[in-house]
Amino acid sequence: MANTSSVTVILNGKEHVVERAPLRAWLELEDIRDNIKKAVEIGNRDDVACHIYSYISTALHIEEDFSSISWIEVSSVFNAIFSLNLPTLDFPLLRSRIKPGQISWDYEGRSWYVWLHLLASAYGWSSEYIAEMDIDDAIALSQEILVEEHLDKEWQWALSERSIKWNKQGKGTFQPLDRPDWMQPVRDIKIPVFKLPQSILPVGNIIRWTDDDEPLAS
Amino acid sequence: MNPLPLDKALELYSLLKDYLPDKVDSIIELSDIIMNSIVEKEGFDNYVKSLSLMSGIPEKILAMRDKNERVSLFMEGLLVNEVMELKVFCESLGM
Repeated sequence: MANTSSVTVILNGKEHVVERAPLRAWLELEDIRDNIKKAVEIGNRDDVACHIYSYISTALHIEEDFSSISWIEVSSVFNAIFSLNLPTLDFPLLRSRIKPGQISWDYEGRSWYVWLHLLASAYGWSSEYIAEMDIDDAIALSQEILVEEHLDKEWQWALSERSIKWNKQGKGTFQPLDRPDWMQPVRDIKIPVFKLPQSILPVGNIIRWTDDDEPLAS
Repeated sequence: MNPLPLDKALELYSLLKDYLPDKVDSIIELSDIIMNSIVEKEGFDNYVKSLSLMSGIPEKILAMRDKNERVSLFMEGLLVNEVMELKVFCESLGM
């Protein structure tokens, strides 16, 4: 599944070949992207620009003075690096709509240790090995670990008395353990087909097209 | 006139954001739409600030210049800075 693709970008007249980032470097880029989002949310334009410069510098491993480089070049390089580092599969884990709140044990750069802990405790791999993993592999395996953990929790929950809700008549009903939003069943939305009443159809001639693309009024 | 660096381009976008159309066919049409929208929304300050930003000419000096010259500079600035592309980029950032 490993994706070894790369892109060539030109910044300030110099050509750079950028490889797709492995897990640890990708998490660093994602942390910077979070900072960009935060700066956008609070409307701090200078910080938005600074974090975009930081994103590019981190990905290209360079120290560059961006003040003389046009926004067109910067945005083009930023978009190229961002697209290169997108996961190639549509992981439900990444589609979570709930934003994590600020927690007291959080700190700058923690995301790497969260992923390292998750993967190392499940598979016993070294931090060097995990740091160099392809992001698709890392996300897919992390999702499997989290699914397995949650299904275990559901099993334990089902065995506990707290999973039964009793009514006044003494009848118990099983209450399943809530799943995170990315584990919710996929809803199949079906659009009903119905006939439009004639009164709301547009008036006038209907133009039909023949096989040789000549319009004919009817 | 040269394209602006990113921090200045983001400032330009914040000045012109409210006047930019979704789609245009030519730079003349874009300039017309922006100018009309600026007049309609009484955004003359933003016009002068954005013009000063793009041209590097102080606002006071711009005020003394001929009106047609200002319009011409404004159009050149929009063209050089690819303002519609700037809008797409800023929107992709969520701005």
